[in-house]
Amino acid sequence: MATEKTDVVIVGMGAVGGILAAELGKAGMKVIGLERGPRLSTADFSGQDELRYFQRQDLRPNAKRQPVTWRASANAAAKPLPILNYGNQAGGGTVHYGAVSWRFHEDDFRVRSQTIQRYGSSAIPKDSSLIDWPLTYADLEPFYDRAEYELGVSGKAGNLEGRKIEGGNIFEAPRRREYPLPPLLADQSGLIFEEGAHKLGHHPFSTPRAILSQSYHGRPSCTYCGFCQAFGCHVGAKSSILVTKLPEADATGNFKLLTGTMCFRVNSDNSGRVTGVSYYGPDGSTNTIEAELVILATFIYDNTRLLLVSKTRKFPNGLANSSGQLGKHLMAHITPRVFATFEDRFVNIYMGPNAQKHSLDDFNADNFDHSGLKFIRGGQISVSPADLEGGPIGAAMSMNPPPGIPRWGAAYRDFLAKYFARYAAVIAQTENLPYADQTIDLDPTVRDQWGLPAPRLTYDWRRPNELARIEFLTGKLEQLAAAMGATRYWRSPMGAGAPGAHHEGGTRMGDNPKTSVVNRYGQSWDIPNLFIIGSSTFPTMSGFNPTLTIQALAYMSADAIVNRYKKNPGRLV
Amino acid sequence: MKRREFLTLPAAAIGGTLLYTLAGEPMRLQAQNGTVRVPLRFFTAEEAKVITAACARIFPSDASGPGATEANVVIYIDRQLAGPYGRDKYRYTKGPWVESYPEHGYQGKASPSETYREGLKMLGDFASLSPANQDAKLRSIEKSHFFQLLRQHTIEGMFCDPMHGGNAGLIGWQLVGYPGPQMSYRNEVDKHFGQPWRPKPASLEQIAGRPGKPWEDEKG
Repeated sequence: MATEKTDVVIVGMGAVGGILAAELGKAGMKVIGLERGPRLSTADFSGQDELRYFQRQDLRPNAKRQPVTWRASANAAAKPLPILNYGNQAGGGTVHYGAVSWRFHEDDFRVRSQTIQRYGSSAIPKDSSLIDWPLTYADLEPFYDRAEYELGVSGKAGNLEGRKIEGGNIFEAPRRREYPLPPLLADQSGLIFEEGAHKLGHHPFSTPRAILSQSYHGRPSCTYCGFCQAFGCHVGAKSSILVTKLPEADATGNFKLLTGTMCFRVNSDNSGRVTGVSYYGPDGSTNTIEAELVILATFIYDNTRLLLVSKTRKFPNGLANSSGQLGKHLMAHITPRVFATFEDRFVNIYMGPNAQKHSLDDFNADNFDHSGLKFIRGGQISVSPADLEGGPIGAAMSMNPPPGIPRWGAAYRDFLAKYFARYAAVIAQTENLPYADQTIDLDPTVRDQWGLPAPRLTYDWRRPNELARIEFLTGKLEQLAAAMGATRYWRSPMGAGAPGAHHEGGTRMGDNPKTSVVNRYGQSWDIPNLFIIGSSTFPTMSGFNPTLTIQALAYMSADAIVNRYKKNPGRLV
Repeated sequence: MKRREFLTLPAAAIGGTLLYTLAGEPMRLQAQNGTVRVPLRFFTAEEAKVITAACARIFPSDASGPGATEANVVIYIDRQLAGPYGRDKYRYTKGPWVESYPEHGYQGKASPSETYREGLKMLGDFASLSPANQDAKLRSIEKSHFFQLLRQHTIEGMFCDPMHGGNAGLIGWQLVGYPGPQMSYRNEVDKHFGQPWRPKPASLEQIAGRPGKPWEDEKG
């Protein structure tokens, strides 16, 4: 059993951990990073094998060793989910994500007050725990800017300091300057999506992505090979934490990364402070790190689980959980899809970055009038391959054949043979509301490879507001498919309530210690030398992918720690 | 030790295909006298015939195109079932063995290899049935976990990189017009608008200039 002392220990080296490690290391703080997976490099991603990376999800957590269970309601028995949609190596999900990089809208930070102001409080479902964020878009804008420029994001501004610009996302919140890199080239699916959207009077644009459209900071530009989502980038053009912040952290000389290590407890004393963490080493050994500052930067499952398993006499319901909010308000994107096939044209959708290639924002957030509709909020709409991955296994496994075509036999073979190069999927990604009874807790029976209780999700998106939102958006997808010139389009069946991609919640932030786990900086209200940072702190989720907002929050927390907390280690709010 | 079983295949389909021995060493099969004998790892020769026949109904070969038989889907399945995947490397396998929501996927006890042993019993003398009776047989088991796996594996065997044993001669990719894992479309992505783009597909081995190694043989 080894014991080490350091200034800061960060658990999880993904989107958040890499940024904190680099920024705190630069400020002279000694940082140890714990990462349960390996540290891979760009050279490891030379063989883009669809079976390995997409079908068997080789860069994702192994569901056998790291199970996560789900049940639709508190009355049902939870069982392990077969596929886990988050990271499992240094760089976390940014290694194998589609790299879609949005700033949230201004109203995404004040959903409750925006809704009441425009539609009255009766528009909010009674069982929803909808709140505003304890910060505004303007507070976060400098850190969005920093994330885009330091990491490298390609896109076109649609709102420069209030000036709307056609061709960019005119619904975006005002930004101080252009993106650091021009938008990625549109592939054919993007072009027909744009044409169809224009016919309907919508405002399409090239999706902003953390993928280099030109060489930047010594890294080469994208080759348009199409292996992004589920794959590591073979040239390092994807601005993952692996090729951006981890090398910066290394260069500080103050950073040590321990891979293959599983943190199993946050240690605390009776004075109301945390003293460090305990972890299992790659060899199964039990080790301890004593640290002045502990930062939890894992995916939302482990941010919650670590606090629950670290309970003490002082915090019998989970460390830093005097509010009772720990593990509550789990949210996830749900993605209705419409598949479209074309008789008169090829689309060759396997070319180019494969996730949410071209987008429109007309039906997201409060960008449209919801009067008379039976729901609030909306979703982002984009064009993609069937499951955001361009290969033929992905297309066949993810695309249910249209009505009249069987799932096997000669007619199915002919369907794939004719339409693999002539199809596109139009996809909505919906903002779902927070509900206190959508939770993460500890599974009573299922344990992971380290003997820790598996995270258990209790979640069902099939609520009236969510069902109405999805039906509305699916109708928009069908209109788009028709306007794009599809000769046939059909819906993908919806699931039975399980959470989709991009989970949020569990350690929600707020401006009141009685109703939230952390403050705007991710600092625990109960324990000032404990920070919890990531999408687990999101009070609401937005219809946009969360990563850039996670990264902006990480920069904001790093800034507060370096410039304020380091001098005066106490509550920042 | 089990007697080594072989599958005899027409050379036209498989000649020149790279396969892997049990030790993970690449081995180039060469056609001899119009047929090649492929060593089997999981199936017996008789079982391989049944699975070949079933895959051929899921992804048939006829005048309009090649299918699972020409792509050597059965070889792909044989290698998957003999390896860690067949022993349930990817699934939580400690129960409680209760089915509920579709998102949970299969929650039963059987590993993929065990599921195939059971499935082979369901298929019986499948290879000797007429095509119409074969289809009727498959329809009768369409809801079974075995059939779901068989369909999935047929698709994987049609379209995987040939280093995994299927997609022989890149037949699956040629069938649908997929160029393989090309490392760049920078010069193509904004061209060919509405038009087909069908270069000769390339496998990972051809692209990398050296044999790949299927990762399921690399890790336990």
